Amino acid sequence: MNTSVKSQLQFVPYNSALDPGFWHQLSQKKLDVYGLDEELKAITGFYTNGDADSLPSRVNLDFTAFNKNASIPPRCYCCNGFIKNTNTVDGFKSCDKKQLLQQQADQIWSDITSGKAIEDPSLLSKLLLLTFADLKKYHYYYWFAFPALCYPCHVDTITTPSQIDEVFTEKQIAGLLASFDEVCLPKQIGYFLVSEDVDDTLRVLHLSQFDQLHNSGKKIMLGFCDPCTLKTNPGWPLRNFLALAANQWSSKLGDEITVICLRDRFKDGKRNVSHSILLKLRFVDAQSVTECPKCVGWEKNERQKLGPRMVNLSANMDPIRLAESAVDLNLKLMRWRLLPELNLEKISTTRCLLLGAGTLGCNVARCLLGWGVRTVTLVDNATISYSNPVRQSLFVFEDSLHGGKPKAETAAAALCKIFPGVKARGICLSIAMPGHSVSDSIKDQVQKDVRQLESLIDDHDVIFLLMDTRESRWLPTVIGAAKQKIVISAALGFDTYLVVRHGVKKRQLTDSSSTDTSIPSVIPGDKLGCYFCNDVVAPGDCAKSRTSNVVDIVNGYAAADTSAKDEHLTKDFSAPLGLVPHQANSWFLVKISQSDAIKFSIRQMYSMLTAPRKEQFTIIEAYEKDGFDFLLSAFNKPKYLEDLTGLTKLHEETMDEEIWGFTDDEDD
Amino acid sequence: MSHGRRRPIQIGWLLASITRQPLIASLDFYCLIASQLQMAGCSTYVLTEKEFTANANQLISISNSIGDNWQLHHFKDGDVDCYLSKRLTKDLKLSPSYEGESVLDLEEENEVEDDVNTLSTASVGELCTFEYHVMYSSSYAAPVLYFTAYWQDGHLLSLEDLWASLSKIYQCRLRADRWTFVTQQEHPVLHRPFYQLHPCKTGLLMALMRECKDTQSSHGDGIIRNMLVSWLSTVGPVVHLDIPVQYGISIQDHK
Repeated sequence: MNTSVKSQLQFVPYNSALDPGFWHQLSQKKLDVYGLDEELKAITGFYTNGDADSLPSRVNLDFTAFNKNASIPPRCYCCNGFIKNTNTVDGFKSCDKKQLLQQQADQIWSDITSGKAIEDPSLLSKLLLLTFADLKKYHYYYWFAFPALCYPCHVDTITTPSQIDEVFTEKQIAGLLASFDEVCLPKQIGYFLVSEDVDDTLRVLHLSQFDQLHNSGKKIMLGFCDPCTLKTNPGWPLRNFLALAANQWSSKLGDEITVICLRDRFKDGKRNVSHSILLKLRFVDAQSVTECPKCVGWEKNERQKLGPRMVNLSANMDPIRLAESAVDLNLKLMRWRLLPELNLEKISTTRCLLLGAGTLGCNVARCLLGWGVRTVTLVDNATISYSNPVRQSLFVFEDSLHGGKPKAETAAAALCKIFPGVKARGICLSIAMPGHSVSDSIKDQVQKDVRQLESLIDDHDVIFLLMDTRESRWLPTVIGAAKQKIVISAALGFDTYLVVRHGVKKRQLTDSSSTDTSIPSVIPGDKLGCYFCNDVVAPGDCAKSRTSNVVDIVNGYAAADTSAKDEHLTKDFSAPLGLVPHQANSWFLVKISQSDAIKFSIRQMYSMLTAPRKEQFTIIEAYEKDGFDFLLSAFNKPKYLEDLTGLTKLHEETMDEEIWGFTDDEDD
Repeated sequence: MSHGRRRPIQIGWLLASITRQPLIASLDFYCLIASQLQMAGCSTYVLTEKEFTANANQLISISNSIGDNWQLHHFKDGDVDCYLSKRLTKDLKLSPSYEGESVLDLEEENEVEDDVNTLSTASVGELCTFEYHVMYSSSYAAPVLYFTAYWQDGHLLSLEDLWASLSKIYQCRLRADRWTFVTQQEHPVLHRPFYQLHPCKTGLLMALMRECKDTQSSHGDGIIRNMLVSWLSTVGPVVHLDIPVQYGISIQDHK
């Protein structure tokens, strides 16, 4: 059984275990109570002796640690102590750890020698916590110490530790527990005495009853609640308990000291203490000392070195990070519930360029945020007027005062305010339009603006055309098509709207000479048209001719429109969803039944932008070949585009009535 | 519908005794039945605040007797003033997925010394603590399970870590379903982020439990049930929260 070996007793140190709530509380205390105060503040931790095998012994601190009368969870034992929160990382580094620990040691030693610890044994369990809280980054530096007196300096184990059920009978153990539950459990006392009565029953007694027991001549054993689960070694609380025993009772305990390391756990609803161990110890040099003995107890860090630890809690505590993860979680929820194939990462990394920051721009931007898009650039050259805020959801009344703030920048700032995780930029820029002649005096400026627009389109993945005129969409349509970007155009009328995802052409067309006029069942993406493709009138100065395509009029349907548009975008990234409608238009008139309200249709690439069949890509090719000179001609000469694409010829060949008749049919 | 001569059954336990995959089976079963109940227009079980409090107190008293470490917390907020909590520390044999930033340029301190009486333990893996809170939701008239999990330094487990910690069987089963019942919520009392098993199906699940009848029972006299325990024993194990069978036995013994 027990081999008689003498070896020096070694104790298993504590590990610190913290609850997220502890850091929340510390941050709050630092801000609201401590301020720059670096003095020691009382805190409470606790340990348990109910752990499953192989778990290391721990002192836990949770959000109640700062409470004055912190309640300890059932079957746990308190470990009181102090926190010193330094103001700077240098303060944390330079603080005298040795002296800090010594202070605690002095306190423990005085509690032992004065006998105070006999009355209140919880004074033996102490902790010390040194922290520095970087509340800007939510970084926390910390270092725990569990002060333990090195006294007696040398304790031998006379025999190897034995399991409690090897030494005591089942009946004795049951008696021990019943007595423990009566004396220690209600008050959560972790240190006690055990005496063996004449009839072999074991009784648990309070430390203050030592002398009484000793006088009655009974054999006295020491007992403590042991957080350690090793079969070979006791846990940390025994150190100060032995210091107390050596100081107070050395002569009365005899040569051989028996210690019960009580480990008390429940498994499957059944209480079990059989893994408790019994130690037979001898103090080798317990000569009485008057000075406080040496003290140890600083915790090792994750690298097993004596040193501090750091935890970065920005993901748990930084409100901006929390908002980001909540938005993502929401989208993931949607993905898992409804669209398992949705590629959220792709959407969130998509860079969106919004041309126009009015009713459409504001609402598209907000919807994009909702879809998890993180890069949004808004372009507009206007300022906010009094009538704008009611419809343009990123502006408020104050933005329209004193001539109004610039729309693009204000919208971008509002986006950041709504969701700090977004990279939003606002750019004040004019977009040149065909038929709006460019005089020599502004030619350089227009050229500069065109270059900026080209580079913006280069830098983004998706271009939204959200302007209020038809002709202002022309230039970005051409550039977007040339650069093979996804271009989505939205237009809003009083009672109608139109959303088009422009086709992205291939460089080489395999079947360009096809003259099949039957309606195909599937139109490949490279043959889809754009906003202008089916038009028979080239964009011109509509402000001059007062045609009806001035959008952004009084309407409340921007949200319906924009969500249709964002759906376009998200579907573009999730091919498994099947056929994506190319174009959605809708009327908001009451007479149209609900099922007809949204009409999806397909524009095949035909006329204006990519030119009639024989001369496909006329405009794109002209733009790619002649660049700004070509654009300048388009801006300056009203009939230039119609001549170039053969529309003039078409007009000459066709009766006007037929054209309008055809258009009406399509609108049915 | 007569509710007489019925005995509560903890379905999770029943199935656990038959198969090693209790929860998957029972959750599937519940979802199926729950949707049927819903289609048939069956009402959900309404757990009143009073019943919740009574159930919670019973749970606590059983917990105390079997050392299960549930705690009851009282707070003054609204009409429901208590919630249950429990902590469970586990060695998941996982390491945190977050990268340990090496901003710690603090040199190892020489002024503190090691001593021979301290056992140098081998580096232990990071332990993980699960924390469970059961609260009453007056809008759903149902109990709600909140949970969170954190590493030893107080850093929360990511949802990915959390799912990785579940057994393979659950992971498989829950891959498509996990978001249907887990959401992130701010804890109503502590105001910290917690995960929540969404209570929208709880009422139906409890309605089903009420309908369950133990045909093996020789004495079908009267019902002794604790809806809170029945429900918790069913949903808890998905997130490492086991409810020992002693709860069921004790509830029966209270007769």
